[in-house]
Amino acid sequence: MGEAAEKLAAGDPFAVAKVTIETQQRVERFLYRQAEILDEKQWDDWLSLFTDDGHYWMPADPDQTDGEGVPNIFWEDLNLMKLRIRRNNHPRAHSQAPANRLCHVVSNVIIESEETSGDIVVRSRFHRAEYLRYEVRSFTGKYRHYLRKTADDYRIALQRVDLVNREGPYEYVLQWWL
Amino acid sequence: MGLRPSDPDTNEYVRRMYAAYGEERAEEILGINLHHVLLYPCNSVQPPLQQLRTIRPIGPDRTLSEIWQFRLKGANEAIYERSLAYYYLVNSPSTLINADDLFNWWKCQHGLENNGNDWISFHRNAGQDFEQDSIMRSAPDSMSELPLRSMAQAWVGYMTGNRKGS
Repeated sequence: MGEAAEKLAAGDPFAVAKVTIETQQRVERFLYRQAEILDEKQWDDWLSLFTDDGHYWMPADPDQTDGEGVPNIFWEDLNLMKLRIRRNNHPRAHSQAPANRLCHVVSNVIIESEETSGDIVVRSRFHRAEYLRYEVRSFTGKYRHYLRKTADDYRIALQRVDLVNREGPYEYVLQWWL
Repeated sequence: MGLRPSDPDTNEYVRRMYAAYGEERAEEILGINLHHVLLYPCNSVQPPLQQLRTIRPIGPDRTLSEIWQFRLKGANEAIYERSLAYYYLVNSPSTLINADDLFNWWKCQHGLENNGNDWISFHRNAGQDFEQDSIMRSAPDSMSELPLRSMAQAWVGYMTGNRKGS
C-alpha cells in the first residue's frame, strides 16, 4: 500500500479539523480549480495538479482501502492519465467526435486533517453532468483528496472518488475523470 | 512457444506451472493460445487475460456488458497485476480501448431503431468460407464475417424452432 493510500485509510472519514479560514479557502479554491480544469479540458494543468507519484482512484467497492492489486473503475498514475489525454484527443477517436461537454459542481468541503507540513486530507461532494450524443447524463459522489503542500499551493498525492452508483451499470464507459 | 515472453515474471509463472503439472502437461497447457473464445450465445472468454465477458441482452434496446476478472490460483502476483493492467485498458468501465467499440455498438443499436433499412449486412466473404473436418473455417487471409453469420443463423434457428436456421 502506498503512503497516500495509508493516509486516507488511517484517517477518520468523519473528522472535522479546525483550520484557519485561509486554509479552508485555499483548499476550496484548489478543488474548484480542479473541477474547472476538467470542465475546460486544460490537460497540461490537469497533469500538474498531481504529484509525480500521484494517483486518481475510483474504487468499485466502498470497503476498499487500496487501489493496488484489485480491480477498480479507475486507478491511474500520470502515465495512464497522459495516455487517456492522448487517446481521447486523437482525431480518430470517433467516440469523442463531437467531444463530450462536462460541468462539475463541488461542494460540502470539509478538511479532515492538516499536518504540520501543511499536507491536507479533505472530503467533498460533487455533481457532474456530461453532455454526449444528445443526452445529459449525471454522476454524483464523494471525493477524498490527500493534498501535499507545495511552496505556493497543493498537489494531489491521491484522489479517491466514490460514485453513488459505483456498482451499477453505465449507459456508456467513463472517458474522462469525474 | 516462440511467442512466449522471457521476462522474469513469465519465467516464474512457467516455473510454477512446471512444479504443479510437470513439464510435459504444463507445456501442453501453455501451448494453447486462444485469444478469444465465444461460448454461444453471449460469453466471451479471454484466457490469456483471465477475463470473462458476458453480454446480456436485457431488452430490444438494452444490452449489459459485464466483465469478470480472475486471479489464477497459485500464480505469482505479477501475473494478476499484468491482467489488471490489461483490464483497465481494454474492458474496465474507464476503458481506453473499448470506448470506440462500444460507441460502434451504440451506433448499430441506434441504426436498428430506424425504418430505413430492413437488412443487416454480414456479407463479407460469404460463399468463400470452407469446411474442414466438419468445422467451418473463414476464407483464408480474409476478414470474413463467418462467425457473425453463424451467430445470426443460430439465432434464427432458435427463434423459428428450426435448429438449422434458414
